[in-house]
Amino acid sequence: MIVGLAAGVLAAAVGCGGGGGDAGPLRWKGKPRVFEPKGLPRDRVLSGRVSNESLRRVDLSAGDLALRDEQGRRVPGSATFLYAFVHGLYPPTREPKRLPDAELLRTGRIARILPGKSVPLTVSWRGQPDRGRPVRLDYGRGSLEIPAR
Amino acid sequence: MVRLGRLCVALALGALALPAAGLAHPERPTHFPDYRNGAVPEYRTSDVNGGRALVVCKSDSRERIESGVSDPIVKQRNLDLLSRCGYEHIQKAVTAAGNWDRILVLPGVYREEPSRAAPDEPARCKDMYVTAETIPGTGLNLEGSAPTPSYEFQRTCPNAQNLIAITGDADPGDENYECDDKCHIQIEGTGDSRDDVLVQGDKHKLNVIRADRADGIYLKNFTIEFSDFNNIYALETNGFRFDDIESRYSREYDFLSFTSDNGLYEHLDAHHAGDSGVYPGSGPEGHCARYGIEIRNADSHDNTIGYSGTAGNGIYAHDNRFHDNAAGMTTDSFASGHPGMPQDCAKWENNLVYSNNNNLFSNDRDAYCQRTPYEDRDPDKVCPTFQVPVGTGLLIGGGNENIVRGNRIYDNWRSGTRLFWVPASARGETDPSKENDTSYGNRQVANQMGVRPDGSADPNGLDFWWDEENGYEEFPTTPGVLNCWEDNSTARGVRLTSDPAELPPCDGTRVFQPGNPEKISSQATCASWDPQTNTDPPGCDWFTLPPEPQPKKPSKR
Repeated sequence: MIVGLAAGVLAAAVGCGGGGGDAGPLRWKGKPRVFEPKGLPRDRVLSGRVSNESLRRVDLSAGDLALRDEQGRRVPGSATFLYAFVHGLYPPTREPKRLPDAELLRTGRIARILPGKSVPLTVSWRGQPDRGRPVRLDYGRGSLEIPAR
Repeated sequence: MVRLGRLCVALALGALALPAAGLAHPERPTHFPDYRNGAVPEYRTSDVNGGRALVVCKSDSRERIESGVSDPIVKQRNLDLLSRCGYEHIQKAVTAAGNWDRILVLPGVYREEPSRAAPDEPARCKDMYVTAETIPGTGLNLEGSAPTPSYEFQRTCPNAQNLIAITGDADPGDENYECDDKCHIQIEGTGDSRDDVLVQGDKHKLNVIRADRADGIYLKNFTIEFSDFNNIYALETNGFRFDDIESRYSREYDFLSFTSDNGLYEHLDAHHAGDSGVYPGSGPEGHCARYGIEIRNADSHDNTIGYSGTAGNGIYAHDNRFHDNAAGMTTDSFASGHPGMPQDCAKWENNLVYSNNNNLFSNDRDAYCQRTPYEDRDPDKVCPTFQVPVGTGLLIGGGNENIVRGNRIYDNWRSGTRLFWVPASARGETDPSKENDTSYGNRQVANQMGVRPDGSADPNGLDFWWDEENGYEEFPTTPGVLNCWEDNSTARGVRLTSDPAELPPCDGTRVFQPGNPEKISSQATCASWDPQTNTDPPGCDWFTLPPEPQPKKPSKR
């Protein structure tokens, strides 16, 4: 689940509002796809790959990603560094206090992106009456543009 | 559901060697037994090979025999056995037992109080844990993983995790993992029904009965309940048989076998498990040349999953009923830590797979499970430990060369069957050339879809759902044989339903297909499900039960 960082911090870090393309070390690799999943008219799924265009490794946690609408308001959603279904070695209710990084990587909860490399990213959200559609995905050091479709 | 790459390398004739780590729960690295050295045990009614009969009873066994055993011959036999009763607890008899002994359990409720009182982390076993460092050369990256009790731990401190433990390898330090003592043990209830003997867990110990390197174990004719993990658990065991047992109310698994071979599950009633009624995980690596575990005449219902098996290889399941679960049957390559990945070569035949619409993911159930610890739950209210697409009859996630034949699959409101790819990285595989090595060669043939046994229509939401991926058997030279559907039928005058609308026939074509990206990524959204914090992830339709499909009128021709 996407856990929003302090909105103000993020807003200050990446600026409010949408548009303007990607900012920071990450870029979409190709055009991400946004679609309405069958039978869930309020939901949208974004599926793509993000590449590291910087010279240093970028470490991300899915829980730190935050969707933002045009006004910079957080839009609740989920993110995973996966492009297909995977599940954990442990049931969610029986996980050890500290999971090995290998398990967190495998299950898409964290990503380590080496320079020039890319990882899959699937983000989903549900339409909210008091929020616009998300236009940016903030990851602390930058943001990625969310296309309309 | 219980899961590192293809960790165990098949040697000649299928004997397997390298160890592998983990389950969907903390477990030590395990090895497949050499199936050539074992067999499914036969039921014994007399002493053979120097074995003895050890009798277990309770203070009220006589009363239970007289009031509860109706068959006069069985009643008299039980009364005769009373005079030979030497043990009050099953574990005590197991501890006293040697090879080929039969443990005869007279009517009663067996709570195994001494085992319950055993400490979970005994001081004398405090150094008997294994971590990655203890399995060098396997290529497993377990850095940071929690240490797990070793086999030596289980042998030395049998009741730390288990109410009843049968550990058969007397020499944990040697290089073989075979049974030396406590082999071919038979534990059976002596009543005239399995209701006469109840083995009751305390909802705290992980396992009620653990058969660990206990080759030839035979369990028969009792009821068992209330494990925190497995009611009945066979691990690294060559030859096992579960016969005429009701297993219920486990927090996770009613029956589970793992890296075991020569097994038979039969005449079982498995219900109300938080994960699966029956779980033949990390199954025999016969690679379609043989089926090492058979499951027949089982009735598995009201669980999250009726049958599941990560790396559920080499299983032959037939003439079973899987019904009223959230999902009827699954097999998969979803996770790491399961020897034998990717999953392959199970055969499911002549099963009834129906009405798997038990929505354990509703808001009400989510709230109940969040606020009620396992110990305090109504046992009939199952709390799911893993996520499944509720309303699915049979699901193959990242399996290869499975056969689904001659089953009757109906009244599953999402889909009768569901087939999709799972990337190799899901099982910890780091070789990118293997990424698409799952979901090929699965044959779904001659199944009756959407029709009850009486011939009346009772449709599935869709009969077949496929993500349209077909993987590589060997990248890049050998695409897998195309997944196929052939000779399936449905109610008279009605057409089979599927997504995609056209499904390939079984003509043996080999092809790589990358799959439908929207179907694939919509499944990915379901990975973030968490019963405490994210019960309904956006984009995932698994947790909303579809409306009941109505029979269609036959089309006029």
